[in-house]
Amino acid sequence: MNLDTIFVPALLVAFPLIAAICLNFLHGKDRAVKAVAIISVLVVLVLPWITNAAVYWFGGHPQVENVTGGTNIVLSKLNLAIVYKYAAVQKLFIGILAILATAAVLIHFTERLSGVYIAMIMLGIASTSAVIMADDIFNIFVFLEILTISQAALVIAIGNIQAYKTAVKYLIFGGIAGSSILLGIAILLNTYGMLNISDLNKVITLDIEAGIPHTLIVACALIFVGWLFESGMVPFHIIKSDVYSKARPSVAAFMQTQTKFVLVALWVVILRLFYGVSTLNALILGVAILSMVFGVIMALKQTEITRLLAYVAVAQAGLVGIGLGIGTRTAVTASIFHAVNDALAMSILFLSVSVVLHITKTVDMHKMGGLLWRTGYVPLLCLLGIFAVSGMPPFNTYQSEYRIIIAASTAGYPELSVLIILTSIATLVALIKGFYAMYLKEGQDYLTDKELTPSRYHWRTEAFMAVLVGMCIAIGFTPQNVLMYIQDFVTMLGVI
Amino acid sequence: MSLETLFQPMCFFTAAGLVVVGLYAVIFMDNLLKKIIGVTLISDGVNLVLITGGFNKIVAIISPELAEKGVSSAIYEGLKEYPEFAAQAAYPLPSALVLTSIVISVSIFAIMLAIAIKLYNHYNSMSCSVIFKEVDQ
Amino acid sequence: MIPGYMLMGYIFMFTALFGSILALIQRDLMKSVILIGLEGLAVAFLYQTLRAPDVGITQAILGAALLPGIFAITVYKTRREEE
Repeated sequence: MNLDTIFVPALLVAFPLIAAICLNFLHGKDRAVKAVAIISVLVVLVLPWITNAAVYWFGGHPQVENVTGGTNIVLSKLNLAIVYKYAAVQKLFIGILAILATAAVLIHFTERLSGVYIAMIMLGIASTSAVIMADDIFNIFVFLEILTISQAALVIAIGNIQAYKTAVKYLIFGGIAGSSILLGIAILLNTYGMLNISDLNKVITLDIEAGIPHTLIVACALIFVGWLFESGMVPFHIIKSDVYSKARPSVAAFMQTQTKFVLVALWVVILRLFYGVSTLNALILGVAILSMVFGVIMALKQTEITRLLAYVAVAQAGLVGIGLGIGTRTAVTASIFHAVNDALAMSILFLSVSVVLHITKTVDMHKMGGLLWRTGYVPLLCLLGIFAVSGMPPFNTYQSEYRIIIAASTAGYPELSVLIILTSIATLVALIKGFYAMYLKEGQDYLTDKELTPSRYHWRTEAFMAVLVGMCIAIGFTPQNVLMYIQDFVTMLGVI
Repeated sequence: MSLETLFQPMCFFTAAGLVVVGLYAVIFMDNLLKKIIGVTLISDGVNLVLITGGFNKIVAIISPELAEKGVSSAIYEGLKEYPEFAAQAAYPLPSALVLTSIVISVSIFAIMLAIAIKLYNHYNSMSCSVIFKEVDQ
Repeated sequence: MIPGYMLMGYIFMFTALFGSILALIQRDLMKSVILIGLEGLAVAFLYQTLRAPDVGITQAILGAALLPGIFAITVYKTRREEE
């Protein structure tokens, strides 16, 4: 029996979907939900690492040779079905996503679990994995819509009126952004008659030798608007940070990871289709700088701890966008590396806030404090996380930010290096302010209260934070192990 | 320009009209239900763009001068023997996409309307200027 | 001579556009829900004239029956007049 025919990349999407359906039906039966949840989480955790790198054709449709694609261009090969590509970078992304989804499920494990809640986390893994792997533009649209639904549902699960308001706003914006992407896809489909991104890349390469068609620019603009929404770039940074801050912090850690990976995956699609549009890189660079600066300024003036972290997450997404906007090979490599690193580092902070909120029951920074000696190793790990997010030397983000700065200088944007360093310092200031409010400040009412709520999920959160800090330090000392695969990935794109 | 050749452009025009009316509703209407109606109009318009693009598309894909040269798409190889059918058939791919897209959009609207009822029960109003007031007690 | 289905198509386009505009200017939300159903039905018939009958059937069920249905439930559970 050949294992390669069982553990196909499609299983990475299919298994969480099946688990989500099962969990949905089990809603209300607490023990059954817990049993199925722990099994599905374990499988999801293991599955990315035992699946071999492969290209998967749905339905087993092979490629056909020597055909006309579009109206008058002869292609050597054409894909007839949906294609999933699974290589080392995709493995890394989906593996990290699975770890954070596990954290989101297991941290609240001793409470009464809602089947639908875990089903939505599973739906989130399935949709993000599909967006990362799919080579078919319509498949990406479908799973982006499912991602929007699952994130909105995770916000609704909080159950207060603020969460409902955020969710309805997020769904309305998501509907418009999804329609925008679909309109772009409609234009591409009507012009070229195909949906596979690799094929479209070949056809468009042949087509733009005679000059860029105007329809292509319109399609680029429409899909770019969708990218702005999905990655929380500048016009949409308020709604995105609202979603992060209203959700449970353990889920927010998962959501910001999804956002950063979707940012990279959708940018790869845009680049492969529209690399001929000359203003594309400048546009991406512009919105990335704006969202980085806005994000960090908004983070400095927040009084709620979850909002502070949410805006820092938006600013870090902007930093990822800067490297993508510079557009040289080293910058893009550093940027994708930073997406991985920052997803890990920000998650540490969100998990530490999860512990704090469990004790204080409030997000207001004026009403919390003094938890330094009451939460085990969490303050220490949180401090290490703060250093990791702001790019201090032994951690992984130092390696990637350093590479982005070098790439910016060599590409002719030395002023960007100054901006990135300033942002790092401002991030550190904002986060230290949050750390002071959470752990150091004394004199709160609940500290004198004898019956301080014992936090029962303490050690699990601590364990996950320790694992994440360990990964940050490990990548920080041996960045080449990860960078190697990302360099291969960027080279394989073939357009930069 | 006869009405016959104008048919496809007019369909695109209708779709554009639906998108514009929907965007107007989402941005300027105060009632939450009308905003949601606006999002349905936008998604209807975009679906109509996809389907209209597929109308008569097969003729464009196997154009007569290419068929004479012997070059044709492998997908539509069989259609060369039925030129009358090929002249009347629509491109099937957009239909498949729109089916999926309609189902997804209806599920999104169901969630939105459920939250709208929850918001009404709390604020006793469907007006966005009341619900989304910045001042939080 | 223009084919009959195209003439019908023009009528459906007109219905869809004016149905949507009329739906948005109603003060009575139940009327606007009914007009949205009319718009969905017109788009469904337009799909039929555009040679996509399978999409037409789906749109007629989901867009012209189910969606106005859940809109009507929402209006029934909230207030009927726009303030």
